[in-house]
Amino acid sequence: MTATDQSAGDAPRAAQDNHDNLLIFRLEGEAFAVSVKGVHEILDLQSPTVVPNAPACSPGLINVRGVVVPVFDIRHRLGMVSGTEHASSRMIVFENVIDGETGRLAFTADSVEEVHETDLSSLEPIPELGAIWPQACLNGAIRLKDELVVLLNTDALFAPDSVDDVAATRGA
Amino acid sequence: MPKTVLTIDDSKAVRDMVAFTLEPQGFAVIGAENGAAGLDALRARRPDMVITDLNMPVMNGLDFIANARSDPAGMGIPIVMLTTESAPDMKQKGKAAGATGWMDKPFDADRLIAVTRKLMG
Amino acid sequence: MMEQAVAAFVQEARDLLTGLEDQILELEGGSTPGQIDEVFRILHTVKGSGGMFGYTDLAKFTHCFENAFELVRSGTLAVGPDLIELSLEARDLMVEFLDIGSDGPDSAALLASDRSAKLMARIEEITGGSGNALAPGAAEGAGGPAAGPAPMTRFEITFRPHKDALRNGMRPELLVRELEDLGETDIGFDLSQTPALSALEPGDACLGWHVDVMSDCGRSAIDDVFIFADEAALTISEEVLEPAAETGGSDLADAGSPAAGAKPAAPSQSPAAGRASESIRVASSRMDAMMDSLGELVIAQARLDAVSDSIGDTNLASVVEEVQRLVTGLRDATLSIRLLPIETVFSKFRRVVRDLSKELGKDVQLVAEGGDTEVDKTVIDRIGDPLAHLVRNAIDHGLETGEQRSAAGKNPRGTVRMSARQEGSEVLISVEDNGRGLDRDAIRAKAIEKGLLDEATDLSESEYYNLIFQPGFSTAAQLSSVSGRGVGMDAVRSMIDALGGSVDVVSRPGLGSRITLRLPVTMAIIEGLRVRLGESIYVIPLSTVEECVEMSAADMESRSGRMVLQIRDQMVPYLALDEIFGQPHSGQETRRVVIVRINGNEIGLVVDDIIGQGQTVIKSLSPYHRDIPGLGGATILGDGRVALILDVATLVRLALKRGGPTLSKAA
Repeated sequence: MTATDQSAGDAPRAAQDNHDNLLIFRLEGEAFAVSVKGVHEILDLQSPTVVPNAPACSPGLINVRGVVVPVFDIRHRLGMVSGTEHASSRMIVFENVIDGETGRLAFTADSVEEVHETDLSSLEPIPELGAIWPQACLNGAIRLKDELVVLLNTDALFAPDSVDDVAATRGA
Repeated sequence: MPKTVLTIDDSKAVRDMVAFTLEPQGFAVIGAENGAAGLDALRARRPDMVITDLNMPVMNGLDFIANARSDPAGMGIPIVMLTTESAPDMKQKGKAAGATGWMDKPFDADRLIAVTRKLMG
Repeated sequence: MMEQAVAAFVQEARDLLTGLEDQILELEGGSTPGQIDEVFRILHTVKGSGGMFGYTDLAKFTHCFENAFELVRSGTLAVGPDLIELSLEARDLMVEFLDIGSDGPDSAALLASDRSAKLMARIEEITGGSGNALAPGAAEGAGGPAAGPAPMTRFEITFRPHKDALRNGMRPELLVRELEDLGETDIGFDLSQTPALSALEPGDACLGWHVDVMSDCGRSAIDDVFIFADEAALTISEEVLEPAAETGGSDLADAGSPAAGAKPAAPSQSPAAGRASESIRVASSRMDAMMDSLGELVIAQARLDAVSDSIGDTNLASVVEEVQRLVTGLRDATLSIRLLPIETVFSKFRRVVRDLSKELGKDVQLVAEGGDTEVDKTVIDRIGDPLAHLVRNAIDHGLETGEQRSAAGKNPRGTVRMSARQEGSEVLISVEDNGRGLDRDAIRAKAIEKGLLDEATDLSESEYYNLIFQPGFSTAAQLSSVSGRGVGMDAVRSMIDALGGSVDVVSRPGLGSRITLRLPVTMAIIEGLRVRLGESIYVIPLSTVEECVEMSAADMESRSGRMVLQIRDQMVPYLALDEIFGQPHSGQETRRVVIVRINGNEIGLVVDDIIGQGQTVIKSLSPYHRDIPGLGGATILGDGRVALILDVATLVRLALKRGGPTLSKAA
C-alpha cells in the first residue's frame, strides 16, 4: 500500500479542482473516510502495549518499524461501543498535527475498503442519522454507490481529550 | 591527482567557503586555523597553493608567508593573502614577505575561483 | 553547499560575539594589549566575514566599532566606561543582526534604526569621527571581464618579472597563457638580462617577454593579467585598430584607468538557510540522524540478543557478544560527541549578573566553577531557563542589600556561585548565594496559608525547603519584576523533571542557600532495568536503582496509611506499581522491590519480577500520554514490543507524600 505516494502524485491536481483522494473504511457497518494525504500506511492488527492511566481515547502504544506510535480509539471518540476484532480488521497509521506537533497515530478499522477520488464540493451536510456522532468530528458526507460515507474531520477527531475527560479516566 | 589548496583562516566559515567553492572545481582543499598550524600542514601535505588570512591568533599571515618561503615546501608555490579594505601597506608587507597575490575580503566564489585558476592554471 | 558555509559563519559569529561579551566585560577591570587585540580581531572577523556571507548590514554596523578598537590598539584611544557600555550595547545589536538573517529589508531597517544610528553616532563621538566613513564595498581590482566590448586594440607588452618572483610563486607562463586567451598573440623572449651560466642563480627570474596582443577585451583586462605582478618591470602600450561595434559612444571602453573595469563588489547572495542551525561543529540535524540510527542499531542488537538466546548456539552467542561490545563502544563514542562543556551556558550569566546587579543596586560577583564539565547537548539547550531563574532568584531574594550585609558583618559585595561537576552518570549543577538563606518559618506559614501543609505537621529542615518547589507556592506579592514573570520554582522543577533530573535545596539562615540540579549526562540512550508487572514490561533507569530485594506478601506492612518496608535497619516507603498503574494484583506470592534513590530519598517500587538490564533508547511520549504521572518515555524491546520507561523522580515524590511524613495534600 503506497497511499502516501499516491497522494503526493495527485496533490497538485487536488489543489486545482478541489478533488481529494479518500480512504474509505468501515466501523460497525458504517462507512467512514479520511483524506489519504494523512495516511502513512495500513497494517495488520497488533496488540498494543497498554499505557496505565491513559486517557480513554488513546489506551496504548504500538511499534511501527522502530517508531513508537500511540493507538487512537476512534470508536470511543465517536461514542460507539467497543467492538470485536475481525479477520478484516486493520490498523491505519495516520500522520497529523497534535498540539502543534506532527506525529503519527494508529487507529483500528473493521475493514479498509478502497481509495476513492472525490470532488469535495459534492460534500453533503450530515443527515439526521449522523447526529449520533459528535458533529465536530465530521466534515460531511458523500454519496457513493447508494451509501453515505462520512468524511471525518481528523483535526477534531484526533485532538487529545479535554482535561476533565483525562481526569475522569484517571482512577488512581 | 587533484591539486591541493591549503586555506589558513581562523574563521571556519571562510575555510568552509573556500572548500565548498574549490572542491567542485576539482581541487582538494585542506584547512588550518592559524599560521603555525598552516606551516605544519604545508610541510605535511605539500599543497599546490595556499590562501591565507593575515589577522590570526598564534601566528599571523605575514609570519606564515615569511616562514613558508624559507621552507622547501613553500618555495615557489602560489600564496594568496586575504586582505581587507585594500589596505595598501598590508599588501606591500605581504608581497615583501613573499606573497604571490592577494584577494580583498569580502570575496565571492567567482573571485576565488578566478584567482585560483590564475595562479595555478 | 554554500549554505553550510553561511551557517558556519552564523554559528561562528555567534560564538565570537559570546566571547566578545566576555572580553569586553574583562576590559572593565583593566586591559592588556592582548585583550584589546582579541576584541579587535573578533570585530574584524565579524565584519570581514559578514561581508562575505551576505551580512553586509552587520558588517557596516560592526565597522565603526572595529575602528574604535583599532584606535585603542594603536594607543590613540583609551578604554573608558563609555566605550565598554557602548560596545556591550553594540554587541547585542550585532547578535540581533545575526538573528534577523542575511541582508534584506529587515537588516536594512535595523541598520537604519534609531538604535543603530545612536550607537554609531556615540561611538563616533568617542573616536572623534576619525576614519569612520565606511570604505565602500571594496572595489575588485581584478573583476570579471570589462563591462562591454571594447574596440579592437593592439597591446604591446613588455614584461620582466622581479628576480624573486618565481620563488614567490609567480608562474610567468600562466600570465602569457592568460594573454593568449584574450586574443591573438605574438610572443618573443627577452634574454638580455640572462647572466652567464656560471653566474646563474637557480630560482632567480631572469627572462623577459615581449607580447603583442590583438584583442577587444579592453585595457583593464590586460591590467588584470598582471595584477599581482606589481614589482615586475611592465610596460603596456595600446593602439586602437577599429572602433568597437555598438558601443554608441559609451565611454565604457575608456580603458585608460585600471579602475574602469572594476565594479563594486556584489554582496554574495546569501541563501535563505543563513539562519543559525544549532550546530557546534556539525549541524545538529546530522547529529540527530546519527543518534536515530544508533538507536535503531541498539534496538536491533537487543532483538539479535533475544534471537540468539532462543537458538542457544554458542558460536552465534559469541558473535552476538562481540557485536554487543562494538555497539556499546559506538554508543559511548556517539554520545560523547554530543557532550559539550557547560561553560557555554555559564558564560551567558556574567552579563545577566552584571545587568541584574545594576538593576537591583546590589554589588554582586559571579563565580563560575567546573565550566569544563561536559553535558549532553539536549541538557545544554534546555538548562538555560531554569538556571536563569535560579540566578535571578539568588540575586533578587537570596542576597541582601549592601547595607544589610554590612550591618550583618558580611562583605557588602554578595557572591553568586555557579558550579558543575560530574558524579557517576549524573551532572550536578549548583547555584549558590551567600545571602540571607531561606526563612523556614516564613515558608511554613506560607505553606499552611496555601493549604500545602496542615498546621499539625512538622517537617524536617530540607522538607520545608523543598516546599518552595510546590506548584502555587510562589505568589505575585513576593516576586519583584526581576524574578517574577509568573514563573515559580515549580516551573524550574518541572523543567528539570522533563530532563530526567531532580532538584535539591540546602540553606543556612544568614549564610546563604544552594540549589543543586542533578541531571543525567546523556539523554538519548540509557541503561535500563527491565521489570515485569503482570503482563507488562517497564523500564527503570538504572542510574536511579540502588538495589533489588525480595519481598513476601507478609513483608508488606501498612501502618496508618503509611506504606513502609523494612530494609535491614531502615524504613523505606514503597509504592506498589500495580496499584499506581491501576493494574490487577498479580497475586504472586513472592514479589520484588526495586529500591530507587533520587536526591538522597530512597523508595521501593514493588514489581512482580526483574527481567534484566540493557541499553534503552528513549522515545518521547505523544501528547496523549505525556502528562501521565510516573511515565517518562517509551522504548522498544528486543522482541519488538513497546515498553514504558518510569519517571522515577515523580514516583519518589508520590511515595514520599504518601508514606513519608504526610503533607495534607497527599495524592
